[in-house]
Amino acid sequence: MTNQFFTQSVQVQKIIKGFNLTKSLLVSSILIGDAHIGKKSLIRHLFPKVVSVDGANQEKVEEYLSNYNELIITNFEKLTNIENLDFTNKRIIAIANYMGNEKIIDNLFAFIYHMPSLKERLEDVSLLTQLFIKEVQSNLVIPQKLNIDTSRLDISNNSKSLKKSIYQQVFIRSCGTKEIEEILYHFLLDNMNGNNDYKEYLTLYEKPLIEAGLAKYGSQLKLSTILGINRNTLRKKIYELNLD
Amino acid sequence: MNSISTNFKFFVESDINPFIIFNDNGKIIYLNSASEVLLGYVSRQELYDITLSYAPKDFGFKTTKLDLQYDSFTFYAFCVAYQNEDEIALHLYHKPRIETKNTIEMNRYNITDINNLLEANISLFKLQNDNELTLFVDQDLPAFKLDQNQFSKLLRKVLDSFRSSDSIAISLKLLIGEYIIIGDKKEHLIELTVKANGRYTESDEIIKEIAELNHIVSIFKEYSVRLQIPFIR
Repeated sequence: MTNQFFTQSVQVQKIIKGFNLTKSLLVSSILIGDAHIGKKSLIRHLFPKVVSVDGANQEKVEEYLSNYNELIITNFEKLTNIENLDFTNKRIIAIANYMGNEKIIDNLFAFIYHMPSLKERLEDVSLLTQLFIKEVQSNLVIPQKLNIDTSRLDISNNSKSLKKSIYQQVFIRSCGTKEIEEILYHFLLDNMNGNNDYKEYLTLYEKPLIEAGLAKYGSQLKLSTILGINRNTLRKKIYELNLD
Repeated sequence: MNSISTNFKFFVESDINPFIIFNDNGKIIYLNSASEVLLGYVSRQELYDITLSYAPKDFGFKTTKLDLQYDSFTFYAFCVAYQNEDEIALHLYHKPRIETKNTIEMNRYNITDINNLLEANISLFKLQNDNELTLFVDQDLPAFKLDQNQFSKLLRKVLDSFRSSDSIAISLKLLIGEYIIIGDKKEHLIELTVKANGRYTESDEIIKEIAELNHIVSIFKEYSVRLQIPFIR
């Protein structure tokens, strides 16, 4: 399987250019950036045949360093004894979530790249959103095209939270009556334990009903007709549910 | 022993430290061969001014410890001496260089296209800086042996010292008629010059250290850094 990497970010494209220029050189490079911003995918895409070792396992890193002239070291920040690593005459590509000891990193690596996080490359957010939508539609077997509310996308934890927010939105939008009933069934089964639960959990139905109705019909007067309830009753509900 | 009568001229002539005698008008009346080379990089007037400024108050000699730098020549002290009103002498003392092994660990050296290495380093520099950059290189320069990792590190630090400059000019050329002796072999030199309208100097020491470890001569000026790299093939 080929490792694909998608980006529209100029900064990331410059990093790719830098790595491509050093592909044939025996130099040590490190790619530093927040978790879940695509560092590993990028390196696997650029160096698909290079052996990779996890920096969390110091012994294994040392063993691989003595056996290979070309090596990817992931989670480089987890290595505890980096001063003594010998990168002479090797092509080393390290990946780290943060810099750690700047002086040692500066001494060990010829090329130090900083990869921007998703909030610094919003052009990639829309690209990844489209990719994740396709992925979730394929995984959940949803044939119809779905529109995503972009204001509700979450990039606080980069691609991880973005993917989660897209999966949640796509799933919610694809649910029918049966799935909604099932979701409520499990939620109520897990949470019912009070004296006044009928009234309390009724809001699970009433709140989205009135919210959606107001969004769709605009006025309370019209909505009361649509719902077939008294205008004063609707106003009271809106007040109780803090929807005004 | 001072009563010995001999001709000292030969010994002064072969001294690697520059020795110059001026007359009372500042005209040079004698200079040894080390001074001839030095005068290619500093004016006679500047050396004469130093001589007068640091001359002893009365006949005799005075040694002053002061760092002087003229291109790649660095001096740590100099002596000014005179015994009559007509002649005054200046003797400059070279700063000792850090002892480096005069052999090269060839296993670290690989045939390299320096233009490619340069491009990769410029690309890294451009990631964080948007300074205007011009490049004058000889694309036909043949590949030669370099420690690619060390040289890249050196380049990164040199370029970084120009991070706030408006426009940076980089040039690369083969030096004609200049050599470096490594082991017992005479090697040609390639010169990389990075020039701009100013630069930070805080990394000069580390640049010098990395350069010396790799048999590269580093020459620092207010607005430029030059690296003379052995052209090992």
